[in-house]
Amino acid sequence: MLQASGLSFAYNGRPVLDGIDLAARRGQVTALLGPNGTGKTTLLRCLLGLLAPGAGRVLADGRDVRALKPAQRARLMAYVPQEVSLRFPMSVFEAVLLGRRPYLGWRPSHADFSVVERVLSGLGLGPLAERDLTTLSGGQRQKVALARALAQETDFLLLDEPTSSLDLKHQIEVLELAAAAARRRGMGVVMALHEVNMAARYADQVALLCGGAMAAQGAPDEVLDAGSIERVYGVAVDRYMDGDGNRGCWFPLRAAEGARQACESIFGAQGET
Amino acid sequence: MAEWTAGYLGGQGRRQRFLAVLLCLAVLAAALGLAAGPHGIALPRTGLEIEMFWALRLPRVVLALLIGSGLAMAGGLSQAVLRNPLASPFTLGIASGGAFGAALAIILGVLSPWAMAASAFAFALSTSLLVLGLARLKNSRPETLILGGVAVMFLYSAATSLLQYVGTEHQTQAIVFWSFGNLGRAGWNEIAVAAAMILLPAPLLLKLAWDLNALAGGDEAAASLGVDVGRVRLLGIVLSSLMAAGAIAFAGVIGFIGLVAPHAARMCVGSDHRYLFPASALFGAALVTAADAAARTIWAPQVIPIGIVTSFLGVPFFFWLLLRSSREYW
Ligand SMILES: Nc1ncnc2c1ncn2[C@@H]1O[C@H](COP(=O)(O)OP(=O)(O)OP(=O)(O)O)[C@@H](O)[C@H]1O
Ligand SMILES: [Mg+2]
Repeated sequence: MLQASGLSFAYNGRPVLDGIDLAARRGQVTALLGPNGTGKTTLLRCLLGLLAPGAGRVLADGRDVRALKPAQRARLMAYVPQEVSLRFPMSVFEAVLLGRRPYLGWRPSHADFSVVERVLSGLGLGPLAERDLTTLSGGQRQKVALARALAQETDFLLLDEPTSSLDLKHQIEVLELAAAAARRRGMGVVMALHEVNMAARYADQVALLCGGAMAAQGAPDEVLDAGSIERVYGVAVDRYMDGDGNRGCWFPLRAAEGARQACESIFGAQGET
Repeated sequence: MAEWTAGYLGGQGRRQRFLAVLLCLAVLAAALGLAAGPHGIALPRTGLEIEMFWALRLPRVVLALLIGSGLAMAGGLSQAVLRNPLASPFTLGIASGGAFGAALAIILGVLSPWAMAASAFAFALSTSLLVLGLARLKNSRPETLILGGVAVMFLYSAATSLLQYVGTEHQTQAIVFWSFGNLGRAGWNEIAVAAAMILLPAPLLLKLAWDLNALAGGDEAAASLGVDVGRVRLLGIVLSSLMAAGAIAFAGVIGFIGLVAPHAARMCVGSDHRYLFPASALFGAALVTAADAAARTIWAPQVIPIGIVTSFLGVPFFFWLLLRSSREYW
């Protein structure tokens, strides 16, 4: 279990996270939802032990993540950052092989190669294997980053908006994969996500962040309702159900007052030309 | 073995063959350097010529090989840890620090080659200490380090200009001459010291290879792969400064090699540092040695300063590589 308790964090004295409690269990998908700039990425960085929390701590199976050696940590948790910048050319195969870095000596073994092969073919990246990463599209690069994290073969997988650049098919594919990693491999998956409907469909647990604090936490059905979504995102939503009444989705109706004011101040009031 | 792995391993084989080719190139350059004399390409015949060969030409060629490989590896390392293709040992102000150290020795009238080398070395290293101090106080992000390095570079350049301003004409000339680079100053003792500073860190560079590969994808990604980013970055700066300062102390400022050799190597063997470091070292060694052979023969018996020839020879070569390379930018 990956557990944050009483976690607070500030960038240069500017507080971002405040008293966060979160437990991500193995075999479960935990979705972090919340508006832009609310601290989802920061929370992931703290969970990974990349940032030192100002208060509280993060325990991985009872051990403080900040006390783990970097290599130990990398065998326990893999991470797909929100953005990846690449400065020097590198092939897709090499990029995925880097996921084996925590296990490597000087020369990758057959076992390393077979993991890379499995991940590449699983994600349909085989045809791109020899391509230079800097020449790929944003979505393709995002999948390569996920492939690298899967090749790391860790117990926990932390994904920061893994579907943000993907088309409809690949979004579903990646989320199915995350769910399968949790259910079939028993991995603990934590992902920051913006699509409320996707979170409702694939997550076992939803953590709703607002202003750096935990607004609500629990099963998607308990946490997500028209009230909580409007409070956190400032958007009124309606729920549409299918014929059997067992699958629904949230549909945004209108922005709250603030957003409308922004439109008016930039483009003028309606009716004006 | 499935096809993608086979493709990767095939690429590795190609890189190994390329390293062999580069090794031949460096050996060829060394042979050229040994054969090149004031009378063109000719082997020594008279007793005096043979004596000169052992006492002057051989150490010169050995020093050229050392300096070339040291500057090239230092450049490749600083590009990797600063995550910047424009970085070279000079980005951190090492060259201007070294030049100031030598100028100070000249102005103070300390003209023993050892004292001058020591002063150049000390000031070259002092720049990276300043930069590392800055990193300690603020953070060790590449941008901080590069800006700090460039600022230190300007500081030392201004200090050198001041020394030139107050120095006699003769001293000023000596300062300028030092900064052109010269492979003729060093004897075997100096070479042994330079070799220690350049060759001893080399195995450490290879040990860092995987960490540096991971760093190419960004600090965060590297950290999540188990790389201690801060430690690798500081270690990289210390090692590359040491190698570059070792080279500069005995041979003066030989520009361009530290920037170009790693890129030339990258175009040939890719960005995997396990291959990039050896390839850079061989490229740098071949380039400096060949440039020195040219410097001694083109205008014989005049010797054109090596720093000038490396650029004249290296820039066209680099342009050619740049145009030939199929990648978009290098
Ligand atoms: N390196 C940094 N230095 C200073 N402040 C930062 C830094 N990174 C993020 N912040 C600030 O911390 C807050 C939380 O940022 P964070 O990136 O965690 O948000 P997020 O929830 O991931 O947002 P998004 O949905 O846009 O990705 C923001 O207000 C942001 O401006
Ligand atoms: Mg974010």
